[in-house]
Amino acid sequence: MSEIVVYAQITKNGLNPETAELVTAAQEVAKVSGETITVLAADDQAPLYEDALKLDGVSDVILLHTIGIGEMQTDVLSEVMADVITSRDVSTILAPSEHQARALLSRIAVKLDAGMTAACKELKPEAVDGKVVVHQIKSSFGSQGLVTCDITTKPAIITLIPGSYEAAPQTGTPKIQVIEKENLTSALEVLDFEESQSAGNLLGARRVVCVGKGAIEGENFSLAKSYAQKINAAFAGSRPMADQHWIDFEAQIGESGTVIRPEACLICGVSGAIQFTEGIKGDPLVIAINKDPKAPIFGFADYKVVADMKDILPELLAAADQK
Amino acid sequence: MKIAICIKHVPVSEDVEIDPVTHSVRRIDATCDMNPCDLNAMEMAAQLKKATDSSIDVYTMGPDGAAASLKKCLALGADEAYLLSDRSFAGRDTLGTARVLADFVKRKSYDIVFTGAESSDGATGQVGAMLAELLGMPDVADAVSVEPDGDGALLIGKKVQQGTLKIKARGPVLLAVPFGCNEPKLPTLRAQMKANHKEIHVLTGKDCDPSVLENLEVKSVVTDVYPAPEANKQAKEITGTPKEIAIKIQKLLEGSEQDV
Repeated sequence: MSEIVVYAQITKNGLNPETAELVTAAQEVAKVSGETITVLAADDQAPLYEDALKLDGVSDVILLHTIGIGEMQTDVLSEVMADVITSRDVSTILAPSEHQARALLSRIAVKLDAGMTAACKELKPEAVDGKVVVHQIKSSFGSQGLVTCDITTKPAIITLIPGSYEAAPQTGTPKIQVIEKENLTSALEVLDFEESQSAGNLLGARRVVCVGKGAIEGENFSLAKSYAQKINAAFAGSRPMADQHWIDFEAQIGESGTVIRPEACLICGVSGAIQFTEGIKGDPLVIAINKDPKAPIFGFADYKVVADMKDILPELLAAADQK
Repeated sequence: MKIAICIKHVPVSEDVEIDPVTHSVRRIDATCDMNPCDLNAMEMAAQLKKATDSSIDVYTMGPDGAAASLKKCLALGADEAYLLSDRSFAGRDTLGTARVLADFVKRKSYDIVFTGAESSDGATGQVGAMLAELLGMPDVADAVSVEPDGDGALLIGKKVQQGTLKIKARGPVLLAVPFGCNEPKLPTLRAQMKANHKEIHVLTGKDCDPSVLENLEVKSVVTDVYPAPEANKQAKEITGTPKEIAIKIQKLLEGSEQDV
C-alpha cells in the first residue's frame, strides 16, 4: 500500500503550525485511497518535535536529524528527503506553500521528476478505474477564478495555503523513527540574523491597525498611526503603502509580505484583494472601514463601516482617550 | 563575475472574464510587461554589476513579444539578451520551463543567477528553485541583498518573517528576489532607444538538447477553470454618527463588546 507524505517544516520559530492542517488534508485523501500517512521532517532540531508530530491519523513519523543543516540549506535537505521518498512507495507529498518550503519541494520535484502544483486550497480525491486521482483546487487570475489541476506523476507534489483545513489534534500514536544524518555539507552557510523591529511587533501583535491607499489622503495616515499607538496595536499597511514608502517592507501585510495572526484587526481604506487577505490568518475579528460600499474587503470582514475614514479616525482617537 | 537573470513577460492585468457555462477564459486586457519582481531582481543585478565589474545576460522563455521585456533589461544594464522561443516550449509547466532555461543557462558558467520570487500570473514561485537544482546550485528564496565579501564568496540577505538572515555562498548561487525589496529604476528614454537597436539572440528547439525536448511533458495539468464563488461572509454594518461608530469600534477592539 502506498502512502501520503506530509512535510513537517521546521523553522527558526519551531514547527510550522500548518503541518497539522496538512495532516487533515492527507486524511481526506486517505479516506478515499485507504493509504497511510507519514510525516517527514528534516532539520538540525528535528528530534525535538517528536511529540508535536503525534498527530491524529499519522502512522509513521520520520525525523531526519540533519546535524548542522537547517531549513535554508535546501541543497542538502532536498537530497536527504528525496532519498527517503524514493525508498518508499509514496503517492502524494503535501507541503506548506510558504516560500522556503516551496523552494525545497521544487528541488525535490526535479530529483523525482514529479509534477508539482502550488498554493492549493482544497483537495478532491476521486476513485477513477481503481486508481485514486487527487484533484487540486487553487485560486487563479487574482481572486476571480478557481482552477482544477491534476498531477500525472507518482509521487505528486502539492503545496497548500495555510488555513485550507482544520488542524489535526495531537492524539495520534505513530511509529517514530529518528535517522541521524552526519557530515552533511551545504554550499550555503547561515551567518547571523537581524531582527526587524516592525515585523517583530507585527507577528506577536494581538491587535493590528492596517491602512491602505485610502490613508494617503490628508491626515489619515498619521491619525491611524496615532490610534494604533494609543490602543497598543501594531501598525501595518497594504502593498501599495509599502511600494510608496509609507510603511516598511516588513510592515506590509499580504501574500508577498508578512502573514499575521492577530486577535483583532482594524482595516482602513484597503480594497481587499485576495493577495492582501491571504496575509491575515487565524480568523481574527476584522473591522473594515471603506468608503466604497462594494469594496471586496467587506466580504472578508466581520464588521463593516461604509464611511470616509477621515470622519471616523478623529473620533476613534477621542474614544481611545476616554478610556 | 558572470551574472544571469531569468525573467518573465506577463499580462499586466489579471482581469479576466470566465464564462460560467463554457469555462473559457477571456483576458480583458492583453497588454504584457516585465513581471514586477523581476524588475527588483534586475535592479539587484545592475547594482552588483556596478560594484564588481560584472556582465549580465538576460534570458526569457516566451513568444516574440517577450523581446520587449528583454529590451527593458538591456536598457537597465544587461549586456546580452536571449529569447527562448519555440512552439515546443509553449504551454509547459514549471518543470518543463525550468528544464529549457537550464539547458541554455548551464552552457555558460555563471557565478550568480537571478530570478524573481514568483510571476504575477502563474505565481507558483517554483521555477527558480527548480532551475537551481538543474544547474547544481544552491538557491536562496526571498533574497533581498547581495554583495561580495572580498574573499571570493557572496554575502546574501534573505528576508524571513522576523527579519533578515545573512547567508554566505562560496560558489555559484541562484537568488529568487521578492517584490518590493529595492526601488527598481526605470530605463531612461535614451538608454531604451539604444537598447532597442541591440540584437536579441533567439534560441529555438533546434538549439536545445534533444533529451530536454523529450522530457517536456506537462505533469501538472489544468483540467478546469471556473469563476470563484462570491465571498459569502456577510459583514455586519456598524452605523450611526462618526462618534457612535468610533465608540462601537473601540469596544469591539477592546474585546469588551461581542456584538453591536
